[in-house]
Amino acid sequence: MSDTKFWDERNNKIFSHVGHWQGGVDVIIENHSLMHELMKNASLMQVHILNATGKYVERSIANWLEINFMGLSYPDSRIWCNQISAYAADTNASAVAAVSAAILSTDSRAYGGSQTTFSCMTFLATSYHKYIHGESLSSIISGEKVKNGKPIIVGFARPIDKDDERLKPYELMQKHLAIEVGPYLKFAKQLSAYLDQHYSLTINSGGYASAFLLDQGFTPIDGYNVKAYAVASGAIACHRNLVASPPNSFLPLKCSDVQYTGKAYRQISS
Amino acid sequence: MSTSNKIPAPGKGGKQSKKDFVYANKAQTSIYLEQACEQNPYIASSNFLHGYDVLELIQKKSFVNVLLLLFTGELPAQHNVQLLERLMIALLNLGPRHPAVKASMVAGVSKANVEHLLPIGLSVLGGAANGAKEVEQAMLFIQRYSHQAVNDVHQELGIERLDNDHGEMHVCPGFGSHYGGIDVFALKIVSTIIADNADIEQYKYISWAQTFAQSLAQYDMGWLKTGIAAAVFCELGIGARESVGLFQLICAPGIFAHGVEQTHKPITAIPMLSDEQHIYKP
Repeated sequence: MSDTKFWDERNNKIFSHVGHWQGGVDVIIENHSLMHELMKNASLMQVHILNATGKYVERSIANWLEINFMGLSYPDSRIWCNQISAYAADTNASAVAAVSAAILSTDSRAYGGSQTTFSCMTFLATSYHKYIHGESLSSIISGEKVKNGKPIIVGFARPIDKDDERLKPYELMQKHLAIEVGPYLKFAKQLSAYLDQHYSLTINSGGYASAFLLDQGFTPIDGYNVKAYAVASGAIACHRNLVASPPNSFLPLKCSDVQYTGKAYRQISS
Repeated sequence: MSTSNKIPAPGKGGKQSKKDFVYANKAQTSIYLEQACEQNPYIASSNFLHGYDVLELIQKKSFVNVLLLLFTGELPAQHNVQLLERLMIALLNLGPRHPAVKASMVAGVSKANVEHLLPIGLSVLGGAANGAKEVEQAMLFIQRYSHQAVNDVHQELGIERLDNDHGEMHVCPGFGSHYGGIDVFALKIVSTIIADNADIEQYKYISWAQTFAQSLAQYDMGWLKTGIAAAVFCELGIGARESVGLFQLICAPGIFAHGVEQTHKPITAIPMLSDEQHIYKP
């Protein structure tokens, strides 16, 4: 007979360490009352961060992350997640389906918010540790993979060919909110200068935000969770832009617009 | 474009170019060719799958044949068609206690739009524990170790009896304990899938995985359904990455059927636990 104690304890029971809804009374999030404390004092972003990480941060930190969220969600259907949202609009799928699909698509190692934040925070945490123990920047990046002669470091390149327009507002808001530039961000900027000099790579939005999150004491998993739905807003806009259009009106392709590279015609052998 | 682990010596790159990404003018595919009709370049008049006329496939081949053609690029041998068909029946319905099916059922009973039920269930089925990601990892595991004696694998991975205090234990992707014991039904599925195949040795991956699963019995562990799918996919020449979606596809019917069944019931048809059954321990 198998020992099923572990499952018997959980049969028809939920154990939670994050929160509890007591119907008609209150909701507790990480020991904070939603009705009596958070609804009065906290911003939506503070509550989101609390739910995502278990950490109740200062309002200024949440305000900066709001700016970061704005920088992750543009109403432009060329961006991959928004393109997916627009395709959903093209089939007249609901806005919720479109946003869900868009969010899922950003669970990507190439762009988005969550995975890239996790990767970049992990890289920066490890690299900074090496750096303060005397390792050179050149040596630190020598362990990274290379593509087209350049190191692949998430947060220090951008898959389009323009400078990152978000960096200036990030810096300005950080100053405006009187949030000190911490050691990770200082290190990230040093690294950016080095990479720019030698490989024409510079820090981007993800790199800046990842360093910022590390400076505020967040872990890479915290960063992943906080950014989970960061692209939602722009994706909704791109759905709204298309949903009233007739079918097959978004980026229609001629048959010849897709290049076939496969096998030539062949008959089924009997 | 090349990727390597060797980084070139730092140069004086300066700002000469930021064009690290050059985007293609057209999407490419080696899977499907749509030939346009003369009157309208947007309307296809003939379609070809890996070189075969789709209309000919409709007439001459079964769904499973064409499914394998889609993922491997070639029409399969008959014994492989039978193998996949059996796996598909085995995994057609993971049952109303699998998290992916439960998710679809909860969505159904709580009146989510019907068209969302399958994506909801499939998202849950994407996970690395009893989900599609585990199938991918199990394929890589089987492919890596199937040339080794199972005892050596035990030693290398340090497999040993683990207590159940921390719940289900998957010692390797696709293999482990199921609710504290051997997944007896999974065991029967494997026997049935390979039944009447006189020569199991022809299936080198399934054969090795069967031996490996049997070696785990001493620890009250064995095959998991994800491991079965992985072993079969290895035999069929499916790619590890391709296995993720193929597993989701195969399990989809049960996920949707259970979800849509619940839409016909009142929202009270699935228990809502009381405050006392939700224990908050910060």
